[in-house]
Amino acid sequence: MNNFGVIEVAGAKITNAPGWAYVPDTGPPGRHHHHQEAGKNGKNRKRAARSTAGGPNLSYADLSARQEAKVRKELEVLDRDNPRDVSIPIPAKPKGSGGGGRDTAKHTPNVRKILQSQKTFANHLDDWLALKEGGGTPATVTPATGGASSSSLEREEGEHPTQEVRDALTRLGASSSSKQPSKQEDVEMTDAPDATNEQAGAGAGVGSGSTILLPYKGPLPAPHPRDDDPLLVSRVPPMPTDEELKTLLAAPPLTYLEARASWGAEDSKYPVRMFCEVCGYWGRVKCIKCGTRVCALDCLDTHREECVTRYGL
Amino acid sequence: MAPRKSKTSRPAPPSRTLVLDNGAYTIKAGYVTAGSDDGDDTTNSDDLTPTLVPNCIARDADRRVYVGHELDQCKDFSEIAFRRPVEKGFVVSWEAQKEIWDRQFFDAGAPQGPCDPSDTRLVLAEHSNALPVLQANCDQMVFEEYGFASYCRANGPALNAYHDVQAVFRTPRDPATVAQVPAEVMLLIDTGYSHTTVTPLLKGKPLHSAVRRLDVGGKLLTNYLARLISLRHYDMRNEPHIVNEMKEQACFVSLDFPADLERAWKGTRGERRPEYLAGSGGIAKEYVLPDFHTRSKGIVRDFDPEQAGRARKLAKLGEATEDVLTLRNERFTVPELLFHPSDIGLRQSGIANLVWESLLVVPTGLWPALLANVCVVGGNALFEGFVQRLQQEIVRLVPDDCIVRVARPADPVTATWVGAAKFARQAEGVVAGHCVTKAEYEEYGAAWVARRFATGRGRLEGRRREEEEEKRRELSLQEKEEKQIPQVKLTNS
Repeated sequence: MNNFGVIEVAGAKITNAPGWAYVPDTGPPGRHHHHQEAGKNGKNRKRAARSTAGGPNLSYADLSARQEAKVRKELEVLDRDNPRDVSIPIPAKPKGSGGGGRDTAKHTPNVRKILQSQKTFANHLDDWLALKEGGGTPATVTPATGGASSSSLEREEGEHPTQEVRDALTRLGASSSSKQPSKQEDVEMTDAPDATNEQAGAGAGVGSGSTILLPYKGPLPAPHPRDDDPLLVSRVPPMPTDEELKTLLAAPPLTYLEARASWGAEDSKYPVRMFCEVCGYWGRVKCIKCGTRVCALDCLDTHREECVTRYGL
Repeated sequence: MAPRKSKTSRPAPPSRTLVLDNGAYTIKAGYVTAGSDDGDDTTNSDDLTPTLVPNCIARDADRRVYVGHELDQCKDFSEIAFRRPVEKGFVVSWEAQKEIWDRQFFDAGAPQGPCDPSDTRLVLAEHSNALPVLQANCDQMVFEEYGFASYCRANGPALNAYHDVQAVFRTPRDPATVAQVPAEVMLLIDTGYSHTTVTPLLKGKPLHSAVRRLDVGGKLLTNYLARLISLRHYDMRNEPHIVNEMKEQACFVSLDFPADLERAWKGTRGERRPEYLAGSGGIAKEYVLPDFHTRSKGIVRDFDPEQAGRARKLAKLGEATEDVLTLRNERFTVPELLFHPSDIGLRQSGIANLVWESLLVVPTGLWPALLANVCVVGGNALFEGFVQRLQQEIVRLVPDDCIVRVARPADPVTATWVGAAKFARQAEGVVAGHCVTKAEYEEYGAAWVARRFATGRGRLEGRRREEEEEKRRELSLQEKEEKQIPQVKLTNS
């Protein structure tokens, strides 16, 4: 075919056909790589950002935006009390039990506010986050009618020790993990499970050392001739000092989100397990249309029926 | 000066204590008397059984509404819908919660007789890491709406330290030894309806910086099972009650997940593995669904290949007398979420890693003691194999030198309540030290109460010190004035 000497070179533009594409499954690309990619084809910037936001160790193709949205939606559904939205109003009291002499007119303003609140936990959490972001100091309590007022000054006073304690805790964690041999050598022995007779003497001396964790005073196991064998001695880490324990006990509660379990390095050691969405066996095969994991051809057939109705041929 | 003295003279202590573990699924409640603990644990531990009240307002298919304990009257649980006042472990909808509490405790028709809050102490177990707003709401409801004489909002996991923990672990010991209460060191795992938390406890107090939470609880497991069954058998998404019963009766925690999954595999295309047809070595179970006429509860029975074939023929003819589901890998993939939440795309680590995360905050010196006393409470602990699996997973993570012991109390559901009851049964002076009275609430306000509970269930000295500080702050201005007065007098003389 004569095309006037023009030779077509592979175009730089990539069209993403819905449903399938040949993509090397090389795992999540690094941040730098992503910037380049995002710069190259600006159209996909959103998608690229979303896939970096996604967790580690999922292969590149597993994290398409569509699937991530699906996972999020499914998790939301799993978190609900009822599959559908139901509103069950408070029923009227049966006549037999007769109100118990509590009439609704007596509520204090606070109580009325609480009872009428239609907020969900998510609303409360958002409110609290907004308050923390905006106000700087999270108000510990909403001001109440009670006699004493909680001045903001007091509240701030309460905040600073919190920070100090947290700092102390991090320092503490660092020092105990480095396992420095210190003067607490004698304390270390008190809780040793294989304590021998000499412990009785040591215990008395140590009793004054720790007031929080008292030394063991119960009956000891029968001595064994090889108790002194260096190979059999179990290594017991040094006991924390009283100050360490006190800081630990005085630490303020974490906030709701801080206490949430994270997705740590320990978890990303192994790849995420994938299961067949039809039968629950290992998901070894992926549907080329929608990316759903299935185990084998048998389940793929079952899945395809559903897939066709949803996405077309 | 006069008003200060009136503060110290306390009114007579309330005559009884209402101990309440206000769970998301059930309320555990009961009355105890302070000071009734004679230290002998064997004789009077039997009477410590709470009443279990479903913490929900339910509406059945006929649109009849049941509140709390009235759910017992419900005969037909098909298509039942629930409204639960507790979300994520914390009371959110007080409108609903008040109705349930009223009918259970305060109305004239209450099952245990009406309770008079003005002569009752309330010991309420709450979860760690609550939102301050919700805590304040709770305090205000307790004092302003109900007017309890005395109130203690205690950390639920920490109350478990008031058990005889070493008896739970069956530690060999001299039978005469008196249990140390609260337990010195323990690691408590509370796996309930809303979530699972790990709390290291030292002398009955939580180490707050090491508390960790996994957002997988009984509710998520039930919903996940409902989804799996809806995909594979019948649509059960509108039957939370039936699915929940199914989960409780049929699910188990696998001790070797890959092997069990392999055994429950049906085989490749066109061929059915003989093991699969024979019931996968006991994994396959049949669940007979309740029809609420002849059968009000589902039944689990062993999978019988011949009977299953016959039943299928009958079902084809439309003559089947019962609806049967065959549960296979659903039985163990559902509780598996507690150990691998990433299986459904939830990016959190499983319970074992949660324990590890928590340990990393605690000094290494406490590890051996914590790991030798891992106690599991909450409804999910009832899954067969849960304790063994958890022990197996923790052993894999921690240093070899540590002995790992995992145990659960006889009844993990009511364990927190029993701990709370034992706490409330101590001598009056001890319990009062942890509580706030109504007079104090009215005097110092909600903010003070919140701070009191936040600084830990302080001992008496701590409380006194705090009160003194409070007074000092309050009266600092007055004192200045007072100082000035004698100076004036001096100059006069």
